[in-house]
Amino acid sequence: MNRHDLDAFVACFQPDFDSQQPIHPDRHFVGSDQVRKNWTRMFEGVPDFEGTLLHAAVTPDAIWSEWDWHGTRTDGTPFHVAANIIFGVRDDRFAWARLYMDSVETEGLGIDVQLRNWTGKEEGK
Amino acid sequence: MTIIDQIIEAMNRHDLDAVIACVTPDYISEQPAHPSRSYVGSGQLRTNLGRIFASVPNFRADVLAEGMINDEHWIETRWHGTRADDTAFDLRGVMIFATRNGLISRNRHYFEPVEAGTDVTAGISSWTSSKQ
Repeated sequence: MNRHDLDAFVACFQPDFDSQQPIHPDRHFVGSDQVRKNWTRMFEGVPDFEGTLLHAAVTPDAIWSEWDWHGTRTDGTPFHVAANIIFGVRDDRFAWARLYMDSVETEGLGIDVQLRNWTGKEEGK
Repeated sequence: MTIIDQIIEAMNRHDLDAVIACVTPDYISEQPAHPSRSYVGSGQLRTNLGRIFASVPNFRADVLAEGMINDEHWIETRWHGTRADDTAFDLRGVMIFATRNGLISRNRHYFEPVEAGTDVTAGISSWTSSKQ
């Protein structure tokens, strides 16, 4: 990933790799060909893309990983994504993943606005 | 029963006092994707969950997967229910808990409302293009 070596990257995935983003059910796909398409676009859109693995560990069923992906888009704006990915492994390759990720907000609105968005209510009402 | 089991069980009873008894007074909440939403203090947690329990009367938290990793407890969780106006409340993500003296002292989470509507190609575009 950090060498932007697509062949080496895609070789880490099973051909029938199953990718789910539970926050975005419509982004589900199956197949390492789609992995190649996605990351071709990622490396083109963010030429200095770099992924930093913050924490990772293996449990009997999965590999849990916490990531910071960063770089600069071709239009000069910053690319910054915080990600938590749970991987399943079969025969030393990724067989499935559930990805929870979002662009890092540079000017967020704070915890109160988040609760208002989640609950649909102002504080105290 | 772990402290994580206890807090989830207390949340599902909508028992705010029991929830707050599971965390340290200086509990830290962090969202790496949303730095502005960080806070310190169990009082803010009480405020937040109080608002959720009041607006989602059938609120429930489910643990979908979990693991103890180094000294941190990772859970994949879904919070769901129906708001008073009949709209769905549905959030999913991963929470990473650290503990001190048997209580939860820190929660770093990747947790968002479930959204329909954009496929994986649109998702990649939303990251690689600054035009949202």
